[in-house]
Amino acid sequence: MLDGLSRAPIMIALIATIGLFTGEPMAAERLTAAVSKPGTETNRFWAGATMWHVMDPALEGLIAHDAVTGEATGDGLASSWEANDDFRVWTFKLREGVQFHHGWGEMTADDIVHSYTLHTGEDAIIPTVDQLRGATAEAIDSYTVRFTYPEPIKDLPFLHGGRSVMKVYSKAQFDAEGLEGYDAKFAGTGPFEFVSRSPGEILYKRFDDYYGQAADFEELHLRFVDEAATKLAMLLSGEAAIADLPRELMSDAIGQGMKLVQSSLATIQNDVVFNGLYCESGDEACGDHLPWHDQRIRKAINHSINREEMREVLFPQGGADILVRYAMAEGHEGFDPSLAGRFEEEYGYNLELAQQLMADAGYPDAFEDPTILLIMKPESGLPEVPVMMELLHAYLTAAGFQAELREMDHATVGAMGRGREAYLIHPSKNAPPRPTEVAFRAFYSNPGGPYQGWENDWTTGKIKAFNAATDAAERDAIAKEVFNYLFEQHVDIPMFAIRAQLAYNPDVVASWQFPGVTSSGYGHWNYVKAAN
Amino acid sequence: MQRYLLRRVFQSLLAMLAISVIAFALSQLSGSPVDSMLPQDAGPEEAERLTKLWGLDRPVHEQYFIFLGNALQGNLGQSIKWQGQSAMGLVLERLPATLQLGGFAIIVSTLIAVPVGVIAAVYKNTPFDAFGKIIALLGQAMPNFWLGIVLIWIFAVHLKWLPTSGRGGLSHMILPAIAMGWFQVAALMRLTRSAMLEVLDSEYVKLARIKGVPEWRVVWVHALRNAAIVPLTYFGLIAGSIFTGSVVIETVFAWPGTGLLAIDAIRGRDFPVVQAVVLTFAGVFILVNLLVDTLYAYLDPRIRYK
Amino acid sequence: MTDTTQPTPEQAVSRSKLGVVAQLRSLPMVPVFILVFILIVPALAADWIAPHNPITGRIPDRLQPPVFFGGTWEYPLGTDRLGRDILSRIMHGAKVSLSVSIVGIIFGGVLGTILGLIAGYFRGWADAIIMRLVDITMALPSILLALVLAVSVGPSFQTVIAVVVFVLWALYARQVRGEVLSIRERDFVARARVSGASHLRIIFRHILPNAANTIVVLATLQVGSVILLEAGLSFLGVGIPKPTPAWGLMVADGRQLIVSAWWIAFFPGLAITLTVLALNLLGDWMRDRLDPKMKGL
Repeated sequence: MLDGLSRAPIMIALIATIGLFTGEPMAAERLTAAVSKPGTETNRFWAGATMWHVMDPALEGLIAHDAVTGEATGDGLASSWEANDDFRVWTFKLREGVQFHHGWGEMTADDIVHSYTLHTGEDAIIPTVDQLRGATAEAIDSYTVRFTYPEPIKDLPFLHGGRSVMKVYSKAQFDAEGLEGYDAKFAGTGPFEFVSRSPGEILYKRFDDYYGQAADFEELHLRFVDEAATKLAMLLSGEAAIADLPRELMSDAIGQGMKLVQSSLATIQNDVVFNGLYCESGDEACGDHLPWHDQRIRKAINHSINREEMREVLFPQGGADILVRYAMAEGHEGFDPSLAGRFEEEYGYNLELAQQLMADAGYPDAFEDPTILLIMKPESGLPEVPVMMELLHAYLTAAGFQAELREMDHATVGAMGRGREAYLIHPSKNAPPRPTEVAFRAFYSNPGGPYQGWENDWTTGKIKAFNAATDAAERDAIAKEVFNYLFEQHVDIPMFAIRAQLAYNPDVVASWQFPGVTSSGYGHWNYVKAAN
Repeated sequence: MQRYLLRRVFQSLLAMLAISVIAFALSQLSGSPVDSMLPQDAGPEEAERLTKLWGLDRPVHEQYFIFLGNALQGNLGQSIKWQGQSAMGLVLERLPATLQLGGFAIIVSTLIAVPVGVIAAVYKNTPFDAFGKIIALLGQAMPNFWLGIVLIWIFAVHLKWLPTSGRGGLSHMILPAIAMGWFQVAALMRLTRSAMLEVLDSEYVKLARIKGVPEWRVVWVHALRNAAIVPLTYFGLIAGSIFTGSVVIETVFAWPGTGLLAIDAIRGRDFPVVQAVVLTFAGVFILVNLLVDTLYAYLDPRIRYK
Repeated sequence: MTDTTQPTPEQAVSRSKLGVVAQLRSLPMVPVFILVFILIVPALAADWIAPHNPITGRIPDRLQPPVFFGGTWEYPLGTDRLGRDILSRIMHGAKVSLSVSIVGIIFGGVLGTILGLIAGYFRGWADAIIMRLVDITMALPSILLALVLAVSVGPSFQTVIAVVVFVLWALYARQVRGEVLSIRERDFVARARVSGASHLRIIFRHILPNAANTIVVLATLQVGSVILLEAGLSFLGVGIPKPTPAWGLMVADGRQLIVSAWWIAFFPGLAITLTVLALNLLGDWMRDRLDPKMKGL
């Protein structure tokens, strides 16, 4: 077996000759943040996944948000916007004098049209891209741009604001250098401009011609670290001044003198979905064999869970409220404050009632396969999911359910959903909280394609009526009716409304303010104030 | 000699071909990249569009031959996850980091294993021997990610001697190299020890002693020089385990190498990159072994006719 | 690998048969003691001796420290995030670790041994094919296979076993083949062949028993690496699924709380370390007794 007497020198020569030992100077004015690895490391925002949090410093969407209230404001690239009566034609007025990075000139309506083309191109995989498609975008004059949609799209400001699906790139750069130019050194309009990236990190520097609040730090260095213990170590050893730690490590960081910053509003609405209920009449995919097809079982599962206790376990530093799912958020269509008052009665921890409901439904004997299949599906920005699902498993087992935990990735569950065979219960999150129309499309209605499992004739009919309606009061009434119905049907297991939290080193950072209404959860990097 | 060489080269090519099939099959097995790239709320139309765009709607065998044809020209396709970059480019961009860490890990493990092995041989069956054995075995008895995290906490957070993670100067390499290399120490130390025992017993060493050469010279120069050949042979086998180790260690230390790339590519079902990683790992391994076998055959004529 | 110093097979077999008592008396007691009390007894008797349920905990009792670090005897080694008793989980974890190792080693070992026997005994094209397969297996990073398997069919006990088998079979095939190559040249094999014994008979009566020592030593040494492999897979999220108590999974699960709840990862880690150390020491001892020429691995 020792047939390689001389392998050693070759191996060593081969391996050791490669690799230069380069030291990296520590800039005095540099802010280093250890953040979770983005889904994709590319400069092409429209073709990447889960990368808002690392592109935010340099790229901006059309609509800005107030750092405290989270309200859409005219302080960003669009200074104002309006829709026609049926919400099909949207006109945005652009801010004048906005400069692109690296000297690519002033931003005009042409850049918006160009960016829109990029973001609806063949290779675009941004969320809700299908909603952006189908419109025509035209530059009316240098500072006016108009989108015309075939159907009403009431929530376009959300897509360009909180969702921020479209980032503004420079057309001048594209015309001169093409996509390769973007790959090498893209120009955006944000408070920081791109300097360089290498695997696992990205370096920005302050953009001195930024039109808004100027950044305190000269450089912003983002390092992508997935291992939470390593992230905490970086923070404590002074290698990073900011880290997006999992919430269970926050106490450790605070105990060592670090401070916590959180978004002013909840950034994630987290629930656990009863999938597989594709039950419009005549639909063969309907999971009527599933225990949770029975409304009593859905209610019983909800009553088995002690959310208060879960919250203490999962969010020891606070920042999470128990989510009353179908009240939606204040200001959204169909918001019904009365649901909150009924939550305890309909969803609250009540083991006795849960077991009564199970007995009524004949669980487990009445079901062919009584297994409650809980899927541990990782969710970016929510590292609490595994423990959450383990807790859920423990509660259901304690209540007498035959629960089984299984691990699956986002892709597998997504494929099963699109194939209409996701007969599973799995976690889900909205980031940021969706307005009503977007929520309907994503979760409940057949017209937009429900990928999370609840479908029946009643819901579909109502949502179609909602989408067709343009009268505000009528829309609100329909939405309210739908939310009340879903609430009473217990179509999911609402969990928590969670704020984004990060830990920072008070020797370097004095404060930070961000609203938490955008897809990145945290952002507004120019609002990071330097200590002293 | 030529015939032997030709045969080995032919065998290696066959192995690479087999590995290309495996690499292709593995990536197909993992499911469609469309599912991993699409956001939760995307519908079937979006999935269909991307499937077509990335050529995943063609029959599997057709996809394989396209892949093979391109691969023979050194083109493993464009990455799906890292839009705008070629699969091979991504691998080559990160390979130096992995080789650097792996090489350093080998050096670290040698620096620990050889002295411990020599001392264990000289002081055979004494507490020194036992102690050395335990030190060596410890590396094989701890999960490497746990060892890595503990090292970070001791040396980077508490003592602040070394950086926690990332790639940079020499100091960045020490902790990950120990976490990666300690595992090899036990085997290497055992080989050194047994080789030293044999050599220390040889006529050659006895002669040196008789001639009045000081004992430290006998051990550390005369004996070790002859014993060193045996443990060195072990390095060829390490090549594979370096890549395996890199997947875990690079995650813990946020070391931007191919191991980290491999995980991301598999989780993202980025076929071209998965294939490029597997082919590169296997290619390096096979190439090293081919080189070594060739050289060995050149040095030791008996091999050729076996 | 040279084979000039080994005893003749007859001697080796008879020595190991005759000296069982003497052999046992020279067993290194510390490793055996560790193995019995950390691995074997808990694995066999966890259901009776574990003080708490390993799967469901008491959430109000979560993150209790071990007994001499501010905890109570109720939970001698502390509790984890869900209020589960670490000691009970380690006891039940022994069962999991042991069964993964045993099942994996049996499947991998049998497969590898059979192929190694075929390759070494028949030589020729069978040898060429099998050894090329060994080369290919060794050239493929096993961890990537594990990741792909986990992504495609979801992590499970079976996928972990599959990866273990994939890693082990080539090792066995290589080792056994080398062994067989030297054994088949011996006089007693030639004698059997001349007397007209069938290939099967020669392989199973004459060759396998003489290669058995190597196989047993290899198996002992491999239990440790299988336990570590399980840990590595759990770290990457492709190991034994939760909430099964498995040592590697417990270390992986508790690794982040290294500051505030170090005991979650420390004690199962300690169980792994002690077990692997003991197995290696025992393996070394067995190698010295049974198979002194196997110095390499």
